[in-house]
Amino acid sequence: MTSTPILEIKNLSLHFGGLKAVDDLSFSVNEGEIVALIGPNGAGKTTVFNCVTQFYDHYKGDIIYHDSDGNQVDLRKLSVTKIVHKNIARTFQNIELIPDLSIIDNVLIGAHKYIKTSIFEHIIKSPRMIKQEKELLKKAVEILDFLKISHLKDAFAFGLPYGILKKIELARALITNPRLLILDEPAAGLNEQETEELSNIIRRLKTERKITILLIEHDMSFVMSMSDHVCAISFGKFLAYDKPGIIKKHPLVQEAYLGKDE
Amino acid sequence: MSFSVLIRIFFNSLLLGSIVALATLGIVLIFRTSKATNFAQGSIGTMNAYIAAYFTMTKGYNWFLAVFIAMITAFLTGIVIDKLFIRPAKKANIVGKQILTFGIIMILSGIMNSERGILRELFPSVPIRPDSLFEITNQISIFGANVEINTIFVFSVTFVLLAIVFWFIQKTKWGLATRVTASNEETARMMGVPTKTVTMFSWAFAAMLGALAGIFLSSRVAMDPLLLIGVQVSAFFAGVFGGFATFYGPVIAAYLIGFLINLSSYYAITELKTDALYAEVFVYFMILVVLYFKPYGLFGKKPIRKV
Amino acid sequence: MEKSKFLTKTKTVLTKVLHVLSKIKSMPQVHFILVGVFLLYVGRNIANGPTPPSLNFMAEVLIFTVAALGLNLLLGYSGLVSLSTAAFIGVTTNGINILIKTFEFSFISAALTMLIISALFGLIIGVLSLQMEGIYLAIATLFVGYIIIQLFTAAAIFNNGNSVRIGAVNFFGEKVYNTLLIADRIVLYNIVVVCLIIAFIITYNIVSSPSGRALMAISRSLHAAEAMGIRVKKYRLMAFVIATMFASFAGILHSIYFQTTGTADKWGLNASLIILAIVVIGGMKSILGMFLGSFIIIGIPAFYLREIEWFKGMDYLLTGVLLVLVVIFYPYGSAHIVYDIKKLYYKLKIKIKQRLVKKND
Repeated sequence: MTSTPILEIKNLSLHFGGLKAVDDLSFSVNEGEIVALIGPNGAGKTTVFNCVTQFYDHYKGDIIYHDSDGNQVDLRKLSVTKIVHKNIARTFQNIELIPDLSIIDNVLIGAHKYIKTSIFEHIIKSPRMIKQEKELLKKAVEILDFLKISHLKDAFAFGLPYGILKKIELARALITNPRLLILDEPAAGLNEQETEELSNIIRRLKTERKITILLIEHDMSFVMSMSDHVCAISFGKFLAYDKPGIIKKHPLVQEAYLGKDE
Repeated sequence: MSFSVLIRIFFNSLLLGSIVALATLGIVLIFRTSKATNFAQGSIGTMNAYIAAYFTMTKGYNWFLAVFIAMITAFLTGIVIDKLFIRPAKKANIVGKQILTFGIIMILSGIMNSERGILRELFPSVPIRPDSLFEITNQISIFGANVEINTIFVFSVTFVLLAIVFWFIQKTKWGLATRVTASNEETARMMGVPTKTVTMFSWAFAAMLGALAGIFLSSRVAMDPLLLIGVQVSAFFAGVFGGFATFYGPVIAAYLIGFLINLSSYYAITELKTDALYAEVFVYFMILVVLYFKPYGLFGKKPIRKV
Repeated sequence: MEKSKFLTKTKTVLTKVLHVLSKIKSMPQVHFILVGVFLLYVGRNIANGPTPPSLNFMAEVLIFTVAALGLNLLLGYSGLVSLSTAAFIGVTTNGINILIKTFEFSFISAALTMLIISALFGLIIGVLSLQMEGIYLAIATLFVGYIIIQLFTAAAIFNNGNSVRIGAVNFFGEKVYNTLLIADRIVLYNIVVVCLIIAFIITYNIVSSPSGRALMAISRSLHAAEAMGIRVKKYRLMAFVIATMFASFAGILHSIYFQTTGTADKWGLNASLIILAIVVIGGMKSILGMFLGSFIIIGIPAFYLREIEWFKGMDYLLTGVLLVLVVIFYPYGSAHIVYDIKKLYYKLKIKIKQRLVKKND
């Protein structure tokens, strides 16, 4: 585990009308670590994620990403659709899957950035396209296997249990070969067993695939057991950044939660 | 262009604009409360205008009485359509509802083109000219231009009606209920607004507006089952041009479009010596260009959506 | 020993053949070709039958199916509405007419040119669609269609909206087919059928490709699509270009079979709404459903209802009733009926099996 940063958030501020959603927030995420962003509801956590992934690009401050070549990239220079090419992937708080596509097709959407063939080749089903589809299919099945849902690959996403949907979201993000994985409340709505399974998966992603993970989560035991560092915010403002054990006892954090942590 | 010509164009626009304004108000009302694009607005209006014509021409009733009867039938038509077609189709998405209104057009056209029994009397197969309240020859002179009394009558009635409608929507309890239902039906229902009644009355009222538009139009244009088709198209354009976010936007746009078309038609015929249709095409094309820069209409607001 | 070896070998070969056959049976492309063969057979029988005009109605059904396929890609897969589909069929027929008569193009080059011009039109509407959404976009496309039809009615080049006979179609300067001759007309019909199959296959290829997935992603979850690197603008434009080219293709087929431009009114809002109805009734996202929808809306009234005395003059009304019924009871289209019938069939099968098991106990 190195302590070189992979993502640096510097003086991030974002206003919606008169409301300060994020207020002069700064922290870093070290490469290869699991970092949790916590805070009470409405603290601005998802807003921070949306800024990083450039859904909101009118923020103040800088978000610097260290890419695979070691360059420091100002993410503001990239449009939303270019983020994934820098090996940054995210999942969403509300599952954003395509209900009328099969699971495997949903995962393949994540592989869009690899597509080199044009619409013309798609129309005539060129050998190049067929070959690439086969390769991507193989990759998608591998990931579904890793998440233990490959037996469902041809099932339609519509009507599947919530836990499975969350896994498909994760699979879609994983097929983009991320260095930095941004998870928005990955454990929300999962039961104890599923949360346990999720923890194992995330730990494996860190140790086996060397992925840096930045996550938002409300489940404190989940956060404390997994994270290398925790950043706490409240009303868009920075509260603390430290190891989980220290954050747990941090007076400002406790005050913000009014004793909600377990 | 002489001043009297401008006056003449202005009053023609008041006539056409009023008719389109009535139709577009019906369309906006239904779109905002039922979330349906009512392609059948014209057909409903035409059918009930025929009923008014039947009572004036065949039965010889007084014009006001015939129109009153037509308003009642229009009211009932709106309620029937809402109860029989729109309410049962609540599962359908917005495109499904468009097809639904298209189906209604086909049914109404079938009824109006039918040759059976009483339908043949109500909906004659030849174009008719029902008696209007004021003949064409009834004119007065304003600033040297000959203006028909009929035009002034139509505009006055429309103006008063629109004023009453806007007052109703802004100042009364039912008007508030309509506005709330129009902005978010689910929330309105949860707040205790009787949304089902609101939508039902919206359809009834829109039908009445359409019928009135048809009656006014038939005072100057020969009447056949396709009477309001042109008006309806203009009404939709007025809706988009004015923006569906408000009730007054499309109404103002209706008069504006009427004026622009009349003005450019005159210019096309007299100066450029070409068909008036080119003028209409040109005006619509320019409106399309404006829409590109103001995609929610002149008075529209972009609907807010959360990520 | 020999015999059993031979038997096992035959068994493995048979299983393999059955496996390949079942794979082929489920391939959509095969379904399309089977439908095509069926249509060719039907055409041949109708043409030699008592009422020659029936072949015209079949051709009309097929032509509208092609247009519906394009709108299906736009509506069912990309979630975008267009009410100008029919107008672009008219643009193509009139364009081919002018290119052949005034500029002396050959039919093939006129057809290809109009395909490209339609693609440009699609691009323009696509650019409009980048700014507008929902009902505004729908009405804007209505606008565009209306402007086109008014232009046809106003301009003398387009014969002021009256239909113009394009004349016998001339392929490669050698084969000439005149639709007024029944023998030629059958050939033209067969060409239309083959083109329909091609349209089916193209649609399927697009839908099952990464582009198809991208289109669906954009329409269902815009933000997820963008986060995955899918450029919304590019695919919106693509959807409109493809849909307009399909409409153009329908226009080419109309020029091939009917060999007229059609009146301006024929390609107005009414026709665009009929094509929309075909997409909704046939089932958004169903490919063969487009043929089903087209046949239901155009074919059934033409073939059957006009023959029965009581229904005379009522076909329009009954089609309207049909549309209303489908939207109320089957908002996902008639292709869903096939799915429901299959479900029912399996349910019955299981029930019968259970009964038999009970009996044996």
